[in-house]
Formats: sequence, structure tokens, C-alpha cells
Amino acid sequence: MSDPILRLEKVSKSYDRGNSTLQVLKTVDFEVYPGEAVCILGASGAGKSTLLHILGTLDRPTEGRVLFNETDMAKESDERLARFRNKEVGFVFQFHHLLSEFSALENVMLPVRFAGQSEAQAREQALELLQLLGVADRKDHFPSELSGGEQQRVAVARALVQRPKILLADEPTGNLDTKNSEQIQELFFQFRLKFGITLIVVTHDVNFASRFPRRMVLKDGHWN
Amino acid sequence: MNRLQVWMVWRYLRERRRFLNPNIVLAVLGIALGVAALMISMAVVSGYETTLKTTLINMEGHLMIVRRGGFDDPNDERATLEKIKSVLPTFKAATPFLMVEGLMVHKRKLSGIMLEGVDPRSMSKVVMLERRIVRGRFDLYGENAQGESCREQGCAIPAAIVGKGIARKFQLKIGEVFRLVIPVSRENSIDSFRPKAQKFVVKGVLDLGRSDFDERYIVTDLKSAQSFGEMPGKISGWRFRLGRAKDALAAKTHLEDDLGPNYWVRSWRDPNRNLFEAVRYEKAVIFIIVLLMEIAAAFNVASTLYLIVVRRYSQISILRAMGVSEKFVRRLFSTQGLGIGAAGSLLGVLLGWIGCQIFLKLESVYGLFPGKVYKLDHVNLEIRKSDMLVILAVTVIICYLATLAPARRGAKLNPVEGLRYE
Repeated sequence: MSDPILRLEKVSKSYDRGNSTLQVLKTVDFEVYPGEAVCILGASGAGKSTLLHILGTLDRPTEGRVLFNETDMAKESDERLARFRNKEVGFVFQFHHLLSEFSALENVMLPVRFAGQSEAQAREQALELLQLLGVADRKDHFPSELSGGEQQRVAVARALVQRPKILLADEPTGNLDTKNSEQIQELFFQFRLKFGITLIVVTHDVNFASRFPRRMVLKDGHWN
Repeated sequence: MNRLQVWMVWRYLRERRRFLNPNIVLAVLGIALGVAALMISMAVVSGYETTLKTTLINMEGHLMIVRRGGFDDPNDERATLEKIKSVLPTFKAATPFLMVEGLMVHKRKLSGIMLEGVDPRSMSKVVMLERRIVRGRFDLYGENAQGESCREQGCAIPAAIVGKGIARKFQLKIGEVFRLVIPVSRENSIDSFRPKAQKFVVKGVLDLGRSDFDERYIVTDLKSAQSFGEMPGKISGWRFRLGRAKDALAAKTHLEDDLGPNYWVRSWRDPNRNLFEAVRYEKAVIFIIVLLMEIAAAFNVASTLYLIVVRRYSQISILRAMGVSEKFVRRLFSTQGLGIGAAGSLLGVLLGWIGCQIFLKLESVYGLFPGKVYKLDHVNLEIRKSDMLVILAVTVIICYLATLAPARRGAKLNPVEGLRYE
């Protein structure tokens, strides 16, 4: 078996709340291998989103190590982490979080532009993804002009446009109707196979969770 | 700042359904008004300075040299002139003159005047009095005793070109004859005088642009002035035209040392040295005061950016998730601030230019400029490149400084918090 692509070692996360401290993650260990699909389950407030944010380096742990290919990301500079998120990680959230001033195509182009690629290159990559997700005909529409399902497809396209090694999704179907939810779930597994992406998904959706070969439950800040 | 940031800022600054975000429009207008106010105030002060300088040079030439007691001996006069010319590297022309102080008595009114006798042939190469004629002509030929035109210097009734203040006070018309009275030394006595009167005929009225000159200055031909003052062949000194106005300032000190204490050397700047200094300080003070307006406008830019940072918290977070660094976010907001500053500056320059045109129009119709106070009866506005560069540079710097705190705030936001809610 290959080495884990991403590993957490004794990760804790706590927040100061005035006189008290809120302990969200308690010495959590976790490892995920290239191409693996992992589902993280748990009640609200169990620390699932915090774990995902730490895995994606959007947040730093209070204690412990976040290892990407054996490099401790918790000690890296902001610039280095930004490059890591741009190149290696794709995020999909419950709310699409598309930028309202930019068209669907421009939203998908942005990560490529942030990586320093030309506009033409970014356009080509973005169009390819929008076609794969079936929303190429909506490329010039702004987020407010798209349906919920279309918005989430564009958000998935944006997460995948840089061909990341890891896709982190936080309740990606939580805001969608059943039909759109199933389509998005299907797309996730298709892309996992097509691009060999490592998939880490937080969800409350039991049906969605049942499709994952590995499921982990977080309870009160540690694995159940 | 790179092209991507500029493009993103442009998309952020405009609203899709309206052309521009109203908050941004107000911030831009604030900066524009500050720039316009700075531009107009600097144009007025610079214009005043230049008008004063041009007026003085047109009237007095670049340099005036007077010998105490004047020149009686033509040989001495020629030798001195040659010596002066050799010291002036950019010498262009010289013209002699004779000053006679006296009284004007006319229509039961009395006024102290300064009669200047000038050489009609060489004068036009040094001073530009003919450009300042507002009525009649610059004609220095008078009339003979029968009232007929006299085509030579030293006529029985010499020609007089009078300042417009004198013309107004004595209600003089072209062709009207008036009388001047001067004290003339009695023979063998240096402190005893007898009054001498002489008629002059008004040929033209001068607008010297300075009310104090317009109210006492009368020009006639040199021979008539010499004859009236009973100083045949005598001159007070010369006026000089040089290559550049600033040469006179350097030459003055040099000539004073060379010529000695019997000579009085005066550059165009000297009669109003204090005024020029005051203008310089006034300009700096006005700049600082009006700049405060712009600083206030910059606070508006900062508060607008703070508002944008708060409104776009979730967007900043998603940008961070897409791989944007804190530095990029900081630059994104700084670029927005600089964009507001640049738009405000451009609009301000346009408003400033329009303001200057309106000022000039109002000045020409209503005479806004108080001539008695400022010694000029009109002022041209001058928009100097150097002033504009300073105004624009200061505006951009102020706007940039105004962006620092909100940009830092935007960059330091915790992306996790912004992603929690839509």
C-alpha cells in the first residue's frame, strides 16, 4: 500500500470564548490514501467541518500535525498554504459560494488564473469542466441566474478545474433537492474514477454516505 | 498589483444592474472634490504669481539700473552701459528713461504722479507698454502750440499716456489737455524750488494691471521729460531686457558689486519681493488646508473599503479556499482603494478644469479679484504641470494609505468564519 496522501497526527483544535475554551477536536488521528473515498459523519457540532478545514489548511490546529506527503502543513507560511490549496485541494461547500460579480465561466477560471496561468489556458480548462458537468450552456450566466443544482455544478467545476489530488466537500448536497443531490453524488464518484481524486466528504445524507467504502463518525471532537 | 487584480477590482467596483456601486461613487466624488479644490486653489495662486511677474516685466523690464543723481555726461553714460552689458550674459536690449515726480492738477482735483520719459525707439524692445493700452494709442508724439500734430520729440504740448486709475480719477478723454506741476531747483540753490507747469495731451490710457501703478504713472517721450524737468540730455538710468527672467535675479547681485554704491540695481522681483515671498508661503498654507479636505475624503474611502470587506467576508473566504494568499487579498483591497483614488483624481482634474473656467468667466464679468488688496486688477489662472503632479501624487499616496487598514483587515479575516454562512 502507498503512503497516505494526507495525515493528521494528534490534532486538537480549541477556540477561546472569553473565560472558557471550546475544545472542538480532541487529539484526532486520521489518514487518507491517494484515490480513497472517505465519508465523515457526525452530529452537528461534532467537529466535522473544523476537521475538513484543517485538512484543507484553511484553519490551523491548536496542537498536532497535518501532513501532506509527509510535510507538516501546520508549520508552512500563508503563501505556501495558499499555493497548496490552489494546486492540490478542491473545496465544495453546502452553499455554493460562487462569486456573484463573475459569470459561471469566470468563477471556474479563477483558480487557474490564481495559479498564474494565462486567460486562454484558464478558459480552456474551465470550459472543459463545465462541459463535463453539463453546464457549459450556462457559462455566461451569473450565479443569481442559475438554479441551485446548476450553481452547485459550477462550484464542483471550480473545485476540480486545477485537477487537485484531494477534493474536500462539506455537505455538498445539503442544500439540494433529491434529484440534484443524486446527480451531484454521481458526479463525485465519476470524477474520483476519472481523475483519481482522493475524496473526503462530510455529510448528513445517509444514502450518500452509504456509497462510500470508508465511513468515519466524529463525536464530541474525536472518532467514535 | 497585476492585471488579474485590476480586472477583479473592476468587477467588484461596478454593480451589474447599476453602472457603479453608490458607495464607491460617493467615495470617488469625495476625492474628486478634494482634487478639484486643490487644483483651483493652486491655479489661482500660481496664476496670481505669474500675472504679477508678467505685469512687472512688461512695465519695468527684467532689470532697472539707476544712478543716483542721474547721468549728465553722454560719454560716462555710454561707458557705463557698455560695462553693464559685458556683465549681463543674456543681454538683449536696453532703453534709457528719466523719472520726474510731480503733481497733476486738473478739474479741481490734485494727485501725486510719476512722469517717466522714455525713448520711443528702444523702449519697445525692453518693455511692453503698448500691449497694455486700453484706450487710444501708444503714441508719444504730442502737439505744437497751435494744437497741430507734432511728429517729433519735445513738442510744445507733449503726448501723455496715462494709467487708467488717473484717467478714471480725472475723467480724462483721449485728446484732452491737462497740466502737470513739478518743483524745479532755483539756480545756485539746492534746497529752494520753484513750481513749473506743463501741458500734456492724452494720447492713450494704460492698464498696467496694478492699481498702485495705474493711479500714478504717466509716460511721455524722453526729450519732453528732460525739457520739462530742465534736465537736458539727462537720464535716470536704463531698463534692460534679458534672455530669461531669472537671469535678472542672478545678475542683480553681480552688478551691485561691480557698479558700487552710486548705483541702484532693481530686478523685476524687487518691488514686490515680500509679496512674492508671501505668495509662496500662502500657496503652501492653502495646499495644506485644502489637503485636509482630501484627507477627510480618504477616510470616506477607508470606511467604504471596510464596508466592502464586511460585505464580502464570505467571498474573501472562498478566494482563500481557492488558493489566494493574505498578500493577494491585501493587494486586492489596496488596488480597489487606488482605483477609487485614480477615478477620483481624473474626475477631480475635470471638475477642477471646469471650476477654473467658471472662475475666469465670473472674474471677467463680476471682477471677483480685489485689485486694491492684491495690487493686480485681474488674475489669470495657471494650471502648472508641477502643481498637478504634486496634487496627483499626494492624492494617490493618501488613497493608498487609506486602504492599508481595511486591506489588512480583509487579509486577516478568518476564512473559516466566512464560509460558515452564505
